[in-house]
Amino acid sequence: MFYLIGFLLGIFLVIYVVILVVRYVLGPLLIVAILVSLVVAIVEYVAAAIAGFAPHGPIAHLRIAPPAPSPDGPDPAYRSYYAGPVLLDYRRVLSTTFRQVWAKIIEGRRDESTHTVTVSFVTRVWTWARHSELPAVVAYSGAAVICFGLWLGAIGAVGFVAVVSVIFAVLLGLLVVGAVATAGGSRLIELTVLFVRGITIECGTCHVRATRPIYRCPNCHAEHRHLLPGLPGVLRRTCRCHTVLPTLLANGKAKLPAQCSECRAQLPIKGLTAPTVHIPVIAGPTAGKSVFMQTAMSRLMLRGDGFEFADEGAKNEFERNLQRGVTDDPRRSIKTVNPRPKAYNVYVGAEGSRSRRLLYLYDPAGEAVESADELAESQFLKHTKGVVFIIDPFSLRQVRSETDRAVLGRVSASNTPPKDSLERFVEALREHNQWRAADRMKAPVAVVLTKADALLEPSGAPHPYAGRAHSTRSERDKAVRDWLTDAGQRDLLSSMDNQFAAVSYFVVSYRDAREVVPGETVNGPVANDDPAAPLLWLLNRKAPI
Amino acid sequence: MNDEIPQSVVTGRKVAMALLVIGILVTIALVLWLIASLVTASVVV
Repeated sequence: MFYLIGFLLGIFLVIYVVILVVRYVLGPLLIVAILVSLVVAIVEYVAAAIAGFAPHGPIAHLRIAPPAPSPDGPDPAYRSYYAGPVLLDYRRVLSTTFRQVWAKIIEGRRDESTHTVTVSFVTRVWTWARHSELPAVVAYSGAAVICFGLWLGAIGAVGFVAVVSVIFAVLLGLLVVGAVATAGGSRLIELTVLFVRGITIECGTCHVRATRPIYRCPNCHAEHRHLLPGLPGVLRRTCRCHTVLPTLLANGKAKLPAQCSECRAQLPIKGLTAPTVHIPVIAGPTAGKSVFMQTAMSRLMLRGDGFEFADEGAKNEFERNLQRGVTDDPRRSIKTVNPRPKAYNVYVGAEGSRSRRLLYLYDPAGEAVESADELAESQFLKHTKGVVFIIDPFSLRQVRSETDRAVLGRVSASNTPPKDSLERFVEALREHNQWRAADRMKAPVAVVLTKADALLEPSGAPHPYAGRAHSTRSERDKAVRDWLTDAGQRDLLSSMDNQFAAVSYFVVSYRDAREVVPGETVNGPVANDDPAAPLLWLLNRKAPI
Repeated sequence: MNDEIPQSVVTGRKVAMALLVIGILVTIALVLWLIASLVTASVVV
């Protein structure tokens, strides 16, 4: 009986000791092992993330290199970091983390490059147990608990990384969705503004509306045919030369050099920022078109209401004419020979103002206006929003007969009657725009009497504004109409009135290129119209789209 | 080497790292909240 009691007490004692050992030795061991494993795994994760997202880390695995230039392939731009490469970076972070955690905690591995072997925590624990001087049961029990804790910690770390990854993916998704929504919204607003304001861009060379201009990188001149929000970038993209290019007009895309996708000709600078107004300047040979355009440009520039050349060609031509002294002697101007003219592009109006317009002035050779075939091929006529119709007063028979021969020689009088030019032009204009012959055309016409300086001569035909130096627009219209009627051009005026809904009349001289200076005639004081006035009148009254 | 890395990647990686740090902090906060709720949970007898 005494032995039985002793035996039972012994068993209880052993159980009590085991409970104490589990509670105060193995339990803490397990918790420490879990914590060590967890902390090591998280440190490895953070280290891998810092290395993986190092701003200047390797990029070969991202596969973002721009495609080789091709005539119809994708644009030579880097793929956006958020359109895939960020996930490749993160995949690298995860694989590095798991490889390191496995090697450090579970099973060591040999590094082939350094020939060193990483010994894992689990291996170290079992090695300690094998060589421990503690009783085998204690050592192996402790080792088993520690290894179990290390495994549990590693599994916990995987759970931690999984939760972080989900949150990271959600944040990344929100960022991408936000950027796409911003770009999509901006693009939509941009298209709406272009539509509402009637802003388009046309090629000044082939006269086709450029719906998809080709933009060139200002640094390496690479072609970007689809410079819109997309995989290479939402708000901006990176060209192959690392130049950052905006994808929206609001971000500065309009300032990039652009080309026509049809003929590759240069499109106006800062295109798609202002409505375009196409104005052909029509007249027979030597009627004074080119001189009028030069003096009109000069006055637009000097008025200070906002003027900018929209292409280098127009600027160079203007400067060449200035150097040649065209505004001092119109005979120095070079005769227009191109029947299919390249538009002369200028901006009129202050930058950023709603009144700013991109003016396309067409100066077809006078011979083209004399030929119905040439006019039929003039594609620019289909964009016409207004017309400048030049009349050389000395081309009118009655005026010629009253004018001194020396004056006629000096002004290089045109031989083409304006009525003939008008009829051919009207026919071509109706044909290109498919306007019915019965309707009056909505495009306004500015009829411009050139060479008015020669009308100041005491002999010959009088100046239309003689004695009307301070008259209003309507009084000037009436004065020119009366003058043309007296010059036997009643048919021309009737034709104008029948064909066009809005017509106004102007009298200009090359001498007013810098400043409009009133003069004197035998019939009283006279002041020509500002050479810019016909264009400004047309810009204010442009035909509806 | 640095010259060959587009600025968009440099910026993108900085932003991604910031998002990851936010993710880690949020997860740690979640774990601590979970532990705190377990520790302070009322025991039903």
